[in-house]
Amino acid sequence: MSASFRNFVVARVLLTVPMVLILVTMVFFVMRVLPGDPIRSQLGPKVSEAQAEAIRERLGLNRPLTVQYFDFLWRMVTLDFGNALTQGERPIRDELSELLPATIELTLPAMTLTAVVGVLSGAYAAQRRKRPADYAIRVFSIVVYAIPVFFLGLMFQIIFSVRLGLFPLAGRMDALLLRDFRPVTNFYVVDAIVQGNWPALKSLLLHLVMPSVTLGLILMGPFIRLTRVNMIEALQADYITAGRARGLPERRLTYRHALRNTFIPILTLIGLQFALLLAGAVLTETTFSWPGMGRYLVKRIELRDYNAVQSVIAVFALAVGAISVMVDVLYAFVDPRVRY
Amino acid sequence: MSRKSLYSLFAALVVLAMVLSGCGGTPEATVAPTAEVPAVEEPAEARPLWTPELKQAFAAAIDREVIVDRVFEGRNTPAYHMVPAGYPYATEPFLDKYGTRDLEMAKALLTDAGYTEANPFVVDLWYPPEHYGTTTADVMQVIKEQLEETGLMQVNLQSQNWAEYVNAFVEGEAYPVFMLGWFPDFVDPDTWLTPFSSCIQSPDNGVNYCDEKMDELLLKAAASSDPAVREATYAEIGVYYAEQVPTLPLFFEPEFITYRDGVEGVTIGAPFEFNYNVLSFGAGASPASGNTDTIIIGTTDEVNSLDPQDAYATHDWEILKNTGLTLLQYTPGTADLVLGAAAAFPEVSDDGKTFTFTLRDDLRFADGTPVTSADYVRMWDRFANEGQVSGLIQIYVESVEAPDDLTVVYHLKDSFGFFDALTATAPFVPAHPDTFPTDSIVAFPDKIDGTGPYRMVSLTSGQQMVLAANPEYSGEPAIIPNVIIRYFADPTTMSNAVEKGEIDVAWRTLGPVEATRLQDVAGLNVVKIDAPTLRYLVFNMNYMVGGE
Repeated sequence: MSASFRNFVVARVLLTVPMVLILVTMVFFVMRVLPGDPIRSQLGPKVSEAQAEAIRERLGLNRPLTVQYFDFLWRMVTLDFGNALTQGERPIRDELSELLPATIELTLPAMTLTAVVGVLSGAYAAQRRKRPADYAIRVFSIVVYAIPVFFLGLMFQIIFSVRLGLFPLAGRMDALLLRDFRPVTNFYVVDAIVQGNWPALKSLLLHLVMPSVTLGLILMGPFIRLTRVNMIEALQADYITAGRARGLPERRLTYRHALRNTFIPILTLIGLQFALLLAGAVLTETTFSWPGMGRYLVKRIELRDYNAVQSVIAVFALAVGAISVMVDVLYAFVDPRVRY
Repeated sequence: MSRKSLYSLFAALVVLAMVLSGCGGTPEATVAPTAEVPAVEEPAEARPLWTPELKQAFAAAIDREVIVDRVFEGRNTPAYHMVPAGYPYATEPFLDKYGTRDLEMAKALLTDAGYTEANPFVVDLWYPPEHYGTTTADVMQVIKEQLEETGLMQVNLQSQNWAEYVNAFVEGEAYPVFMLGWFPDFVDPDTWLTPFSSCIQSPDNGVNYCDEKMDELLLKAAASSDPAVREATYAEIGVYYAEQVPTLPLFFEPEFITYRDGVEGVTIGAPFEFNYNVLSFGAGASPASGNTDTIIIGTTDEVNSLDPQDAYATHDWEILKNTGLTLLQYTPGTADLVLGAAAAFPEVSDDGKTFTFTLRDDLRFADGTPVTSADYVRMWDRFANEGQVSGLIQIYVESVEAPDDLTVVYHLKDSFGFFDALTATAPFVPAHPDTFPTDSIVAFPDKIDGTGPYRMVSLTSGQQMVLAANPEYSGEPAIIPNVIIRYFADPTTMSNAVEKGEIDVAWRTLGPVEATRLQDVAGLNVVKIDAPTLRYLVFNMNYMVGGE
């Protein structure tokens, strides 16, 4: 690794810090500007004002805002997010250790599906430009981009689960298998493989199909469109014409030479889409009762659980920041012309 | 962007956000009071907006039957008193006084108050658009139309998200009239009346009503243990309530439970308790688990706390009542109090302030640890941890003592005739000393070795809870030894799950849309439960008009 490249990576990582800081700061203050508080949101009028005040005092909500802010920042730095303010006041770190693996297990296959199928479809459409396959793929990309995720998920549930019985409807695993399952990492797929629990693994994979395909399809449209446009341009480049003149097969020209040169914008899109993927996970997790960060975030926003919301947003911000850095680093490997 | 610029931007954002947070203000600062009285009689001094006559005009003008038909297609039950039918001493005083609707009475009351078509009574009517379901806006629209049909009222509908809404009405002055819902704490009329019409408790619910006669009647009814006295007093309270109208009951919202063919024993009565131990699989059943020793129940509820001295949510109480035995309990499907952990009904002192219970001598926690009266004293001590439910018990109980291993004595702050009903609620479930320490709340225990028909074996957050039959249970053993509660994020997914056969029972909260759809699905049974879930209007007596 060259010194300039190392400097670039270090600078890029350091720049992520203010980005995360700005985001969590905004969330911290916006949550408090919003009307309502966690005590009344959860308990309604059933506790007296004196009781509510006692609970606020116990939770530290009566402290000056700046004290709460710096306390939160310090907790974030130490990765101890403190306790949730509602629903049992569990340590947020414990909750995230259960929820984050579930969200990662959902988003990874979704992102893979999106990128692989999206890019290959786009490349194929470019190769078959202005032919029926091209038109069909373009229409498909617009349709999947336009469909709301909850609607698509619901349709999948009714068709593939309720009517055809091909896949489980919701959740991460069959109830009886989950009863006897003892996860260690909370990455259930990894745990099932490590434990050699094949029935559990089969159930996990079957439960993953519909939510990950739903999420993957929603994000696929932009990949298809972007790949197609860049591929059309690449396929008209001189080096492709030269390759064609030398008798290289069309498939090799398309998927080996032209496609490699379209990877820079695609990588950029992967970085950008990752944030959308997390947003999509919020709705997908609700539709499929998937016990991940998205579903948790929605509920905690409703309850005005400041600590929980801030912590989830911080984790999301860190994830998006990390992916951005990785994408930047990958540029150098994908395109040797890129120098840092 | 240079690093310096970035830091400047960050600093600016922090300052902006801090300024914004400082400008948040309290909810009432954002609400413009718009209720008006006739301009011709603007009083010199501020006075409460509401008079009994104005509230009576509301009561007379609103037709609950029409609301129920138009918005709920007849599914809901019109409420002619705060106390629902099925509860002890329930009457229908609003029906007796106003009929289903008396528009002429409403017009006369408003005319007498000085309002005319040219100078109508103008008021903001508030509601939370999402908290009580998407039908709330339709309900409010019908109410507005009915009130304005008098020709002497102009109603401005206003909505606010729940978080701000609660803060605003608890603060006391923001909303002149607004909609709320209520779910009872225990099976007695007191829990439907005192929170809204007693001087001490009504401010907590935004009513701010205080009337000497009402307080006397409520205290008299609450203090007596004589059923005849209580019946007569609650009838009198009903009549007075319909005259004073501290709140205006609208309708009771039902719940729906859907279960697959072959599931038997689904019975939910007025106490709204779902007893898993009486469920069974009959002939022809095809359990979702594939085995008749396990039943899977779906819910969209979430676990908030499983500490008996903290939990205060419907689902949490349901779990606690299935894993714990209260001193007294209800026969499944009825409001009949029977013995639970107590060997006999309590002895009540002459002044009604002391309730003495004798415990069963065969009571054990699920791990075999004996239950003694000391556990009940410890329960009382645990309320000092300021759990969510502490206030419910501490308002009635002064102290608890255990003269011997099997005797528990509750010293009350006053005479409360309904205390036996209170002892049938989840806070009276004994907490295992190893799981629930005296000095702290444990909202999410790994297991619950309680005294009820089941013990909680595991809870996988957001996914499922596993219950297994308690081998030490002193009553009839559970018919189905294993219960799995599956947690769903939304009712549509849950309704699909029961249709597909992934769960045997779809319980709270299956909305009317899903319930109606499932009624036509072969192999499913949809039952409407008369839930004690009331929607009502609050007339805020702290809302002032006139003056400077």
